[in-house]
Amino acid sequence: MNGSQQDISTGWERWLERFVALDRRWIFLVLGSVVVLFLVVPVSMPVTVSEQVRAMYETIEALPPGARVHLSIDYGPGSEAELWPQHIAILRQLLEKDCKVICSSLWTDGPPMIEKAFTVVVGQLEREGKKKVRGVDYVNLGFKAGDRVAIAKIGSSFKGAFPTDYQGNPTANLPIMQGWDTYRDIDLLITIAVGDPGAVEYIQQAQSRYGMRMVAGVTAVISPQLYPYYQSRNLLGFVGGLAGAAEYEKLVGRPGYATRGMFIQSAVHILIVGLVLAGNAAQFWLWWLRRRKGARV
Amino acid sequence: MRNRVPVFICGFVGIFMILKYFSTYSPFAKIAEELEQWGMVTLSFAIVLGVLNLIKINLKAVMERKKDWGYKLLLLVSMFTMMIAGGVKWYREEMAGRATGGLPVAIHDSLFDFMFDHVYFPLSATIFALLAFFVASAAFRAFRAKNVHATLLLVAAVIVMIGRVPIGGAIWKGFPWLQEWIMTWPNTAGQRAIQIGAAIGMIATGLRVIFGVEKPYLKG
Repeated sequence: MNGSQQDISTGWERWLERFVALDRRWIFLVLGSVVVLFLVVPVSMPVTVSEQVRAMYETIEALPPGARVHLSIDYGPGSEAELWPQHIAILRQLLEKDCKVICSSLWTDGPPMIEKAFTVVVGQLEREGKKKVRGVDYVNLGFKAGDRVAIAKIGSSFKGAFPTDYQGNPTANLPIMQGWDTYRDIDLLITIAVGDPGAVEYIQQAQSRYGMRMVAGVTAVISPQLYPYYQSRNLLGFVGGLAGAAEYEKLVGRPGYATRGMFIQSAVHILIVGLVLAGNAAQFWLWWLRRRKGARV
Repeated sequence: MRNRVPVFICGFVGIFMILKYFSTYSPFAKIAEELEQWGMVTLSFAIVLGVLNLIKINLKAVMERKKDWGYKLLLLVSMFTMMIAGGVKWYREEMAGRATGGLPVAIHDSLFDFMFDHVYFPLSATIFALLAFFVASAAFRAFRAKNVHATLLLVAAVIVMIGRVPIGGAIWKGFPWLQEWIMTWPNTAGQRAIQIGAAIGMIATGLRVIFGVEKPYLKG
């Protein structure tokens, strides 16, 4: 190898070494720029509906008017970006079908999320001329401490687990709570959950014990855990992450927050995959250059 | 005696919880349901205990002007403000509910709602959103094809990441199908193996705790 060839090789090597150990602040900058760019310039993407999302939609669609649904909201503001779109889409579908929606939470910051969603959806329906009454058509039972124990207790007695609702009214007096008390009286259990306690705990403590129909909406990171339960039919369907929410929005015919977020998420995924592939290519090239240099010396 | 009583309580409660699940004899279910209620009350007290502990530790640090005492003071002020605001909201809603004859009334113009929507909400969402940046940086560093296993992980991750978003189908129609295949078959098999293993471990540990062979609750 002559001098100039060696210089070029060393130059490449230095450049590749620098790229392989790229300062993470550059990655942060590029990622942030991509997100901001596609927030400002929205691009629509065609959404393909997956089997488990369609199954969840059809399970809810099959509910008769007046069906009792326990909607457990097990997430807080931290997961709002991922779970809020599906929360809104599911709640609206339930109230449009005249189901009785009984909401509660196993997370301390869940009840305000329930309130926010009720405000949005009930407000939308009211503007469209469909009036829904708190305590008659829907209720927020609030937070219950105890994780798995709380799920078991809710299953055996809703009124025992929640003597008052989130607003402090005795649940035994509410019209929506009349004539039933356990999971055996519930037509469908839905949990929108970010982690533990969430969908898996509800399956283990409630669905497997009482055998009621159940579906779930979870973050993308939780959804791989739900596939075995979907295959075994413990779970009749589920929505995973923002992509799942976009699919659900397509099914209910109201593209919203999640559908708008699909191009941003696509761009970020492509960026991360690009970075990973480039990192590997650089690593391989570096290894090859060093190997060639070692063989020539 | 100090050790025997907790072991007896643990065994008693554990046995009734198992009997409730596997037996149709109703007195077992009634006792277990009562114990569940006690468990929830105890856990609610644990929250109160946690709050008291937080106050004690942070108040002491503020009084003694220890390192970062300003942040600890901020924590205490924020906590009490939210507690008082939440109490006021709850009282107003309860009074409004009584006025309507028992139907719940939600009040959304309270200080609690304002702070939840404009302070806690954006702070919490921001912290969670930072994860995306760390995940991107970690993926760049960690996903390296150093051996066969790492290469398999890398290939699966790339397919799932591209196939999960709509652009995957736009690039190649096979990506969403391939992604779904990975999630439905290899992922389900792996998850099931992990879950069965964990469940067997949980049964073994549960029985050891119920029969007093292991007493983790007596430590610390």
